[in-house]
Amino acid sequence: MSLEHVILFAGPMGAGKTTAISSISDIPIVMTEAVNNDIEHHSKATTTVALDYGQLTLNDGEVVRLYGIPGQERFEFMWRILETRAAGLILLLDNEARDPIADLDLFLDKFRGLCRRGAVVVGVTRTDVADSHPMTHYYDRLRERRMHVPVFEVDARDRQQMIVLLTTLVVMVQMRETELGVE
Amino acid sequence: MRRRGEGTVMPEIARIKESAAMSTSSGVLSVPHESKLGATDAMRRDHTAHTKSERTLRLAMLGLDSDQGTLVRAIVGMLTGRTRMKWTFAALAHSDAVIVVDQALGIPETVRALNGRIAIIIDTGAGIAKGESLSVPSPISVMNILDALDSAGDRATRKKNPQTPMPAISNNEPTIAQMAVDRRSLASTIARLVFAPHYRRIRARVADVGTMSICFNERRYHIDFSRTQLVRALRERRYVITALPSDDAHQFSADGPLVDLLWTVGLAPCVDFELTDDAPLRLLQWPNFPRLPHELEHVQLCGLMGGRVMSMRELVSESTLAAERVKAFLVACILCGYVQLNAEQAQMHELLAPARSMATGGLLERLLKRLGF
Repeated sequence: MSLEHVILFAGPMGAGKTTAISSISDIPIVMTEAVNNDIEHHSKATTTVALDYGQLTLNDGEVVRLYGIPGQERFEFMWRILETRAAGLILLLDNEARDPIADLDLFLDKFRGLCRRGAVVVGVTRTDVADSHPMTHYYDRLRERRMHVPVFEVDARDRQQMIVLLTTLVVMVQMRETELGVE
Repeated sequence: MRRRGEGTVMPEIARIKESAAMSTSSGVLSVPHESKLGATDAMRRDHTAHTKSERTLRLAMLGLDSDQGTLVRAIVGMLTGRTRMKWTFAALAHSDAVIVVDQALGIPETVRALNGRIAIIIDTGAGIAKGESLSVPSPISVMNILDALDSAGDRATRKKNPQTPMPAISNNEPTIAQMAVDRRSLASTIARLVFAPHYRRIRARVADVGTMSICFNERRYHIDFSRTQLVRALRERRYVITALPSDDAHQFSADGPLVDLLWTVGLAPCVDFELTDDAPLRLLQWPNFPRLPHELEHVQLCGLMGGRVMSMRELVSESTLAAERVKAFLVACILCGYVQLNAEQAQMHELLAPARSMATGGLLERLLKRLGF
């Protein structure tokens, strides 16, 4: 039976999840976009309402499945379903958002299980247009939470940068699995 | 018109001496004693900067007043090991090049005395030196003397490029504000300046490469040469560093984040940075790998360091990487502020335990293969 690995892309609306998956997927991504009625949170025209899906196919049919999950909290039931299958989480945050540190808190709380497994990497987008939150703010918050999570400035449109996020996540997961003796 | 010796010369001499004294006492920049004045001993000892020729050229002065003469001697001494050719002072009759004030060129005896020798003309604004490729604007600056000596050296040895133009010097060019020379590579000096509170805005003039300006407070830098030359510049030992005035903001209009430069400095094999095997180290934040050149092992080292204080010795042991590779990574992280040196264990003990072994093979290997790495 061929192996498969599930990587989740989470984050608030407009953080760049769909774009990030498009950047690294082998296949044209499957999108479930609908008109955005939640203008209060983000002004973009459309938003993901079910799942975005992309994939990377390795040798011998091994597949890395990339799921972009909707950013609104009302879709939390879907987060729960996918978290149990996920090897790791790439959390994308919009530095231009009203309170990206609160967004960080929210998603770390919701994906507590993956955090405990050291299987979370954070990418902060739009740092070039909004510099009110330097990376030190995110790390300060993580220290307050006593968590060790990599945080990077990224451009979700840049394939190379998204690959670095993904490989960092895989390194983190494997190091933890090696330590625990997981095959 | 300013008379020779008026105004700027004496303060410049004082500032050179003051700078040298401050640098030595602070331990930030070492200015070798012999480099202050007439450094013939140092010239004999320093072979690194004179790889192109072992010939020593002789320099004389003509028409300079005593203050100007003292200043030029001090500068030439400080440039020991930085010029392409060795220079020593000699009598006019035995000289290869002569430093002469432009006003003296109007005197027939001076012209006769030059007798076809290479003239480095100090341009006081009298109009006589206009258009001369080997002129040095007054007030005299270290960088201009460096250029002039190199050009004169090229001419004296009949090298291919005798007409090297003088660099454009802006009106705001500081003369010798606070200057120090060092026998280390430029990378090593920058690494030490990161932690030197007195030097927040500097310019490094690197022989045969170009100019680099750094503002440590604003975390920006600027180079006037190609980035492909950056590593070469960092290896160079022939350079002059000048402190810039704090209001010299225009220098940084086209530039990049300082972290890009410091990361390159840290990973450069020529950097000399003291890091003991057992110094406690703490990862404050991950290097921004998506935008910094890196190896997979750097990611793995961060994975090992996260959430605890550890030493280089422990990191080498747990990673099984070569010590010099681990040290280069750590130095880059320390310079960029990603790793805290001499961290306290108590700061970390409540954090979640990180992984304690390197990951290889498995999904990571297959993924990297698939992505073409």
